[in-house]
Amino acid sequence: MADQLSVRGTLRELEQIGTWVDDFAQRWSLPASTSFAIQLCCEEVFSNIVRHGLKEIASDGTDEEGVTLFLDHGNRAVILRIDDQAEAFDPLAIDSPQQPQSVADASVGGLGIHLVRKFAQDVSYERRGQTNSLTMRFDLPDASASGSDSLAPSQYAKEPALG
Amino acid sequence: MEMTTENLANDITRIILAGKMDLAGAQKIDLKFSVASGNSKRLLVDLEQVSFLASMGIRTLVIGSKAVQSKGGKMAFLKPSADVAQVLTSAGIDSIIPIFQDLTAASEYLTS
Repeated sequence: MADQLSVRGTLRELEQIGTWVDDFAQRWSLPASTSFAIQLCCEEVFSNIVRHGLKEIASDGTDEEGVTLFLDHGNRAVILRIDDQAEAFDPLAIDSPQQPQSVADASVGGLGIHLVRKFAQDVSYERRGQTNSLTMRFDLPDASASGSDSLAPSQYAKEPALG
Repeated sequence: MEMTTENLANDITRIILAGKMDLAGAQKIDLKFSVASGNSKRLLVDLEQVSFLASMGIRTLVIGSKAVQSKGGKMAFLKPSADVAQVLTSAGIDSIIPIFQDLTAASEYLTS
């Protein structure tokens, strides 16, 4: 059964999200780098969701709006999924920022999802009804890329255990 | 997120950051960092005690570097952890603001 956290669409929730990830990482004794990567992806994806105009609706776990995060520990990977009820938006459709050639032309536009692509071993987006769903896989250090029990995020996203 | 500043030899300003450079951390030090970087032509940003870095933290650092460079100055990073360094390299920031693991080497770069 996956860990699940439902939060309001406000940046103030980042602290609670961080604590939730920390608790999960400690419970599963995740390597520090894996925990770091998950924290980073949560921060970047959640911040993007909020900035793209998600309404601030209080979530008590039963509301249909807000943001819901799922973490599941498989044999070889951790899967993070973040669902929101904002208008349809595929963050993976954003171009990665150009490599800055100088300080003058450096910017952070689009950097968040670019970091997600670098720190997660796989990222996939799906629109299900009124829900944007972004799934990220973080391989554990001894995971094999071709392991038979290593699920692609798109498969895992459909698993009943993640709701 | 905490920030302290010290002056080193050769007019090098060392900014020591400690804690999480996430959205909240970046907001906390954004103004102080901006002021400090605006006053320095040789800026060393010590990241050894930074446990986390996200894009809003990078934004603060890049804006500071623009202020330094606008005065013809230089900025460098010192001793980021492996994870923090990976964020910097993934963002391509290390190609414009170099990373050093040694204070002497960083100082030589800033004064060259």
